[in-house]
Amino acid sequence: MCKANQTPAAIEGSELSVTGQDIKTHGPPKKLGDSGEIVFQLTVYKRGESAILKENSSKRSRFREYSFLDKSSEISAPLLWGFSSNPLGIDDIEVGGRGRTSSHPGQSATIVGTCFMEIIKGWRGNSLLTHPKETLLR
Amino acid sequence: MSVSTGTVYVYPNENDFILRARAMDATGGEYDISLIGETSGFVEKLLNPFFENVVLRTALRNIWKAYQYDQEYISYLLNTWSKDEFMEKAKEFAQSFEEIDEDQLHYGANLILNTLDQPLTSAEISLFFNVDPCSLNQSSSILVEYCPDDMGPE
Repeated sequence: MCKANQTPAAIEGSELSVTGQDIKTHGPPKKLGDSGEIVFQLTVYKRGESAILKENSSKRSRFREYSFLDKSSEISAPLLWGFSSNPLGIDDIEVGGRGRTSSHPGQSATIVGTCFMEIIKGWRGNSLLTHPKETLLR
Repeated sequence: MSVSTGTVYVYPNENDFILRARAMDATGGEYDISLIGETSGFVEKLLNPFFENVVLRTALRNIWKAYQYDQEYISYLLNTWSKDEFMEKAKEFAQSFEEIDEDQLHYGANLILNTLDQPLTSAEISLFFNVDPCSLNQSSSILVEYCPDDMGPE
């Protein structure tokens, strides 16, 4: 079992738990290059956590070489992105269950199939506190 | 002095300059030569509208596709489509991630940020270019991640 809260870190499995305070679906589905399988993207903004509930039958990294593959391995970060081969349905995101805090009811979901979640922004490391456009050339 | 007459375009480097030649009299026997500036900067300014056009057309196509997909997804959530019907629709919209040159991606991301003038995460910017959000993070060290106060720990 491994844990990470900083990039690069990812998890892969056949069933993952996803919790946070703002879970959103994310754009059109993607076609995986190796198999042609389609997957549905999601992002988790604010206090994102994801853990492996069921491992893949073949324990090899498919999407990132640094992916955790063991059951109960988890990642946590302010911004997670990933996908599953099953789209989220209308009742798939539970509000007020896992992920709740004293100030937020929290959101949680379980994704199944070909599942992958990755840290896009970790808890530590550099981040800009002002709009990046101020540092860019116009 | 050598004169290049070849047709192969060589991208300007730091040793390229643009000069202005001005005839000093009507016979054209005497010229005043002055330095305009570095070629690369001049060419970039000249081509910038073209590059912007390419980026914005790409972004528009991807966002339009996302909008169309969202309409189908909403229909699924409203029970207008069964899951099987929705999966068939979703297949029509599914495509692989593009692999875009790091510099182009950085340029495009900056253009989108400046155009929309609002904070976007790399996950959101990835939608405009149909790229893996992780690749965008790795390519854009100065973009980093917009981190509004409410994204931090409580």
